[in-house]
Amino acid sequence: MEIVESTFYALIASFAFMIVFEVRGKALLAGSIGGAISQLSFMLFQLPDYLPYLLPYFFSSIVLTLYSEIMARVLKKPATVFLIGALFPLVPGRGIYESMVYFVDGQQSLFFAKLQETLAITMTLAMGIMMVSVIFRNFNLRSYFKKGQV
Amino acid sequence: MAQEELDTAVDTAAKKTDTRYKSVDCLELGLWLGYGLMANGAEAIRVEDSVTRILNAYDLREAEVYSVSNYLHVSARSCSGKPISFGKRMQGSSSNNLDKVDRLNDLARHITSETPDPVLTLQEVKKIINSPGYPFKTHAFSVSLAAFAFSLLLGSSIVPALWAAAASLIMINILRPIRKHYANPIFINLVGSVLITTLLWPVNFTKYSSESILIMTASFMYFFPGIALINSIRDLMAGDYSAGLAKMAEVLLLAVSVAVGSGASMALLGKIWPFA
Repeated sequence: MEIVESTFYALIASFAFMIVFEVRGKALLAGSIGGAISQLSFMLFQLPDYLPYLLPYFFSSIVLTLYSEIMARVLKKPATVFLIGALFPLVPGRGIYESMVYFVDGQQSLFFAKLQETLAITMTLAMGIMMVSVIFRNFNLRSYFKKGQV
Repeated sequence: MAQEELDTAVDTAAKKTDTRYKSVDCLELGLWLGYGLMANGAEAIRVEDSVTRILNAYDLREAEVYSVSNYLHVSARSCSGKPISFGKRMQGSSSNNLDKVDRLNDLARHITSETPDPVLTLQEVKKIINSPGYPFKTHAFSVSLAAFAFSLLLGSSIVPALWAAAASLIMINILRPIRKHYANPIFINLVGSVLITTLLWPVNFTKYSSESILIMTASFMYFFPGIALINSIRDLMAGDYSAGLAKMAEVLLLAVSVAVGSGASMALLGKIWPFA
């Protein structure tokens, strides 16, 4: 039940964020679904207890980038349009905020621990996006050269 | 021999284009389309790729395009062999209008395949660049809805989530006139984070105090430089280190500005109006 609720909230949150970024039409819908998919995949990858805490972020960033690159080709729009909506539910906003609270409180060790964790999550997300995008970029160039498109 | 034939073919194609369209007009079209992409949040590699393909489609020789976060330079050689070059600097930081990026991207594809009249197409490019976005009310509502939904996603209950939505709505209305006069995103993030922290501070004195961290986090998501981060990753991945690192610096500055604004106001509010 918690998974269903979270997925729904992620869908709404991504939808709202995509309007902030001026996305319209089919892309708005597809991007919102991307947000829901990234949250759902993250929660599913979190289910096995034995996985290190960074792996669910890594796997779900792969899922969301795959989704974005596929939708970019289906709807003929830049992948960034879909990536942005799908990425938001995974952003470690709480980690950033807690680091700042510890910093203001003068709790140096907690601040560094939280900051390290947040940076690790951000880098993991970046690595997942990078990995899939590199593969798709090569496919992309080949097909574009063939068709003579941008 | 083969090279000579190729050069002759390129020269013939260039002459054909130059009789149809002026090289300067084609270059200007590429410049403005690239500028539109850059100013609305496209990654540098997309800008360079799109403009290069447009210039090649119009048979401009030795087309070179260079884009960093706020500067675009295009150069090529006309059929008469005369080098032509344009540069355009963007004032301030890019906005995040993915709809315009999408429309300009579509237009770039059209130009590449159809090579339409550059003067008329330039008007279309400028029309897209100057087209209005969503009305302010829609924008404000979506910022508020995002704070509400994110609060619930992070595990808060309904009342604090509504509080976050109201605070975001007030914040975006206060930021509107400031944005018109002073559009520096670092300053906007700083002021916005001060406003959000102040507006959500009273939650600490209610029975929902334990959820204040959730709604603060949710409300700060609006300031998260998501597009800049993704563009930075994509540029770095494409080997464009100057554009990628410039964007990464922007991401860090924007994040730090939120942290400084929120941290300073929390420290101040903690002295004036301490809780527990």
